[in-house]
Amino acid sequence: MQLLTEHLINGLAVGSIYALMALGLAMVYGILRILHVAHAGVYAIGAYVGLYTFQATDSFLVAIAVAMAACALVGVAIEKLVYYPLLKFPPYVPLIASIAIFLSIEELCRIVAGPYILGFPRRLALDSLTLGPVSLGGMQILVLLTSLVILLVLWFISDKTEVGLAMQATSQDMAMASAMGVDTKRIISITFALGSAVAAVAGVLVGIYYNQVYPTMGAVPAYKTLAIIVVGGLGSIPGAVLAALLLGLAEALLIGYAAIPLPRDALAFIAMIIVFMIRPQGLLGKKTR
Amino acid sequence: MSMPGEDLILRVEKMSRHFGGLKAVDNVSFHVRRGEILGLIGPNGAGKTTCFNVISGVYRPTSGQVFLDGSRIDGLPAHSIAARGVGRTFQIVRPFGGMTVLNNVMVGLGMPRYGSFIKSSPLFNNSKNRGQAMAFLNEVGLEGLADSPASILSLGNLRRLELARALALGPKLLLLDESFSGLSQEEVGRMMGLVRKIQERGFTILLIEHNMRVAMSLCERLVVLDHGGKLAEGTPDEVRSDEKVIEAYLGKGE
Repeated sequence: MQLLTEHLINGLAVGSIYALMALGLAMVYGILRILHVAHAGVYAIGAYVGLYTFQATDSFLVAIAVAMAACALVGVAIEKLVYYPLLKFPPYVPLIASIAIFLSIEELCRIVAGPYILGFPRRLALDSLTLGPVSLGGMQILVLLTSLVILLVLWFISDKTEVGLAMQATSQDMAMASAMGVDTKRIISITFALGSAVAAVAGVLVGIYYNQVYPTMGAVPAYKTLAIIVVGGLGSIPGAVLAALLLGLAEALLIGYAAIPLPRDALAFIAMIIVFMIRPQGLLGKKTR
Repeated sequence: MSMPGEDLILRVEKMSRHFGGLKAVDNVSFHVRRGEILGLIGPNGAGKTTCFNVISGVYRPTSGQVFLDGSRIDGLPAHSIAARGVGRTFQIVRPFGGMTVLNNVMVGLGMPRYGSFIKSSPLFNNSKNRGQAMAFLNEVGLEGLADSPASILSLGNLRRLELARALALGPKLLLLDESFSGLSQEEVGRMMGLVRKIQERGFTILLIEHNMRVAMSLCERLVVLDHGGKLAEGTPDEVRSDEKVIEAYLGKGE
């Protein structure tokens, strides 16, 4: 029983990190209909910037903030310099460009930081919390709390504020939104900035959780998060969050707890194939006409 | 009798829009006076919607100029033309289907602030916005559907919603692109009443209309386009008896 709860909590923590990553991807897909593979590169940059900032300042909050700011800039640069000029082409053109950016970022990380696995200093060892029979690791608390706060803030911005309303309008019908006075170019940049800042948080949290930061750390998440947004329903943000949490839990329970002899990373793709077969619009996606 | 150039909301001067070899709009000039309803009519493919798209900033003109209330607007992005006071509806209705009817209207209310993340960070669903949006819905008779998703509305109601959204911009000029098409006889009558009421409130309207009966009875003046060029201009009576217009619509007699 205790083992099961620990796996559950671990699954929730991993799932919420997936959710942070998949969110940005779902937001970008929703607004530009681009599969933003390079998002995982932005996430790796976030992990590196967070690590270096943490080494310099010894503060988790400063590390997160600097990583978010840096990634927001990187995300907006990718959007302005690459995607926006390519929007008039068929969707595979920006997709290929995105893969190229992703590979370039991996190489850039390798050149700048070296091909090693870097770790967060042990100083971040956090107290654990015991609730009855359940013991929560400090890392898990950190990951769960941070993710929860970020998810709430993002939900608030996109659901309640005027800029969020403009984001919804832009993603539903860009030309119509312009006709209603929405500066859609600006809204697209804001979307990239927000999504990329959230990816930075995911990068830092993964770096801390697994104590590993390395140039190709984005490779598996790049494809896994694509599977997540497909399972959730392309473009559906609540769907992406739900699919991410379910995947985290499924990985922990099926592979970790039940010890099914499958590679952990295969689960996302099995789920994607099943979804394609029985519910192509995804968990919370709308049927396309 | 107004002097030429006096109190014109919209001035279109020698406007052309070509797509490759196709002259969708070619050297067209006309103007809209403050407070009037001007109709833009013509056979299919005459260039009416392209005219709207250039005026509202979807396309830049290939040549020529467009002035709104005296200042030049051609070539500006669509959102700044909307912000300067051009509200439009589309021939094929385009609601934000995932939003409520009320939120659809609210999108237009935030328009002065969308340039900045900080300025547009307040909550949109405040009592001031709600009150304003409800007033526009009242005006078009959709107040009872305010909280329904826009995607469930009938075509007639969607056309009303488009009107309410365009009004929310507080426009100097309303562009209505075939707001009557696809409506039943009865709905057409009610929509005509609504458009007249909006004009009486002081709005200036430029509309594209296929239904001649509607265009003739609503508009004070008509501009007739054919093959991208201006064929005729005048009161409904003048246009009705114009040889060239009759020819364009009915074909040349043998």
